[in-house]
Amino acid sequence: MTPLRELQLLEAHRNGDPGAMGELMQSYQRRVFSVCYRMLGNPDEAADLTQDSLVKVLEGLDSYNGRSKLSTWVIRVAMNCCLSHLRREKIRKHCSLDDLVSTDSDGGGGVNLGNLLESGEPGASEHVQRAEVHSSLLKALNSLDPDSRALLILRDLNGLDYLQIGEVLDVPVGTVKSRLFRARAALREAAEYELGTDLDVSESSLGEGTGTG
Amino acid sequence: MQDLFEQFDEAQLLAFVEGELDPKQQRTLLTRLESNPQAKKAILLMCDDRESMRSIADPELPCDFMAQIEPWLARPMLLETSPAKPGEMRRKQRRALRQKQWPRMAAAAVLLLVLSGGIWASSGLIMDGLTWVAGNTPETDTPDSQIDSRDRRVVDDSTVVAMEDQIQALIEEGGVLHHHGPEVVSLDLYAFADLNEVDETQVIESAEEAMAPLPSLALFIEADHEALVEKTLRDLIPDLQAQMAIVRNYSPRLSEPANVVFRRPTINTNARTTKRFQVVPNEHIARSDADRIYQPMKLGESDGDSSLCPSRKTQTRYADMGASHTLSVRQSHLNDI
Repeated sequence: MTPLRELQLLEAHRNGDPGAMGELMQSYQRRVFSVCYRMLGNPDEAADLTQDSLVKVLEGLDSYNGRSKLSTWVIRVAMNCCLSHLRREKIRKHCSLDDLVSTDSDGGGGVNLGNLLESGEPGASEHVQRAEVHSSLLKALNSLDPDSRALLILRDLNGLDYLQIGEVLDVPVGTVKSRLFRARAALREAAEYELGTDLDVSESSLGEGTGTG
Repeated sequence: MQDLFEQFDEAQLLAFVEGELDPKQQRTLLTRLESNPQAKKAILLMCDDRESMRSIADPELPCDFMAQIEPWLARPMLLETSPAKPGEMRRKQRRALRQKQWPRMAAAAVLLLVLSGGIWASSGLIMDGLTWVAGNTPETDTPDSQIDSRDRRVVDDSTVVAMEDQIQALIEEGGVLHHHGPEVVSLDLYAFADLNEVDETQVIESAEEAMAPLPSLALFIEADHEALVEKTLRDLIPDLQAQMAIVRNYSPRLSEPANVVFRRPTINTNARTTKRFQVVPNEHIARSDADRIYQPMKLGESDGDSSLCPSRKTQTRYADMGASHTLSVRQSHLNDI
């Protein structure tokens, strides 16, 4: 959904259009769940917080001031819910492999590593390797402190730029950058622990400058 | 790992990993990194991590959330009287399921209270709390019929939801008000570590304004800021109508979170309950025992091992089950007195 469409629907909602908000929430639910799931690592808790977040969005729309994109604001609401929840829990969640890897193999979410390992089909080894990497990274991600985890989720899994991340986390861009580097270093360290061995590094993967910021 | 990069410009390294450098800048930085092969390897692996992370697909939705929030979509102008939030409904359902699995004794039990004796005693908080309890000591042997009916009134969800408007500023600062059920309200006072004294007072006043009118059974307040906890105990709790207030102190000074529970004696008819609030040790509960059994509190006994705190796992479960326990306190333990 484009930012313009978002604002059109918001305006329609404020003008009493009963279907406008439904269309907006429909477009946000997947993203909000993704944020919650990656932050919490637990599908049940993520579902709870997704619902809470969507309700908070509905209830707080009057306070949306338009300074950021509506979608950024929605992610901010979801992220605040997650961080608040994690602060209360004050535990580090370590997800099992099954929690991190979806059992749906329709190409939308993930693959069941166990099935792939057993399939023996051609190309399975490449899928397995990629799934292993994803799984290890997600485990490593889940072992990080919530603030570092939030940064990486927003940057890599949601594609936000530095400014948007700053708006979500309410920190300056400079702080986003310095914390992001440390979060990446922490992820690398945690991933090495999970993987046990270093990955093969290919300098050709660098390519041309492809900034996303 | 941070030590690896001390000799390099962190901003440049980040730009490199994020793919924001042009090829010439990349080559320049890689040449510099040759002086530290470990750092170079780590940076290149971080580049790989970034690419891998960006290729991770979104998780599948476990359900249609639109159906869950339909009441809010259908009646946006009536948010003040909306039903309990769906997320909380799911939590209540899971809680109800867990309650059936608990031993019968636990279902009728009272929360065990522990104090971290050294810190609380040295800060005088124990005395503050007990002074509050003693100061509210009613006449003994007050018949139930003379107890203020406000004490027994049920707070429904719509009342609590409406109250949330009053502390909107508090919520925007990071504090969160939850209702765990019709009779238990909790206030999360995290993220206030950087408040100055004036703001702390404002936070407490805002919380009091919202919570004071609630004749709820229990308030469950968490905070990780020592001064705020102290203010909560001294300034907020005494002015509330709640039957019980539970303050969980997550201050970093404590090795584990500590609960302090204050129960208003006005609803008790037994003279013994007007004595100072006591911590009761229970030989069945061990620090490492995650399946802790909560025993009815025996009033009048002396303080026991004040260094005993519930394990973190139990605290987590306790947070989830807080509503059920406080309800049990009211319905079973208090009625038995």
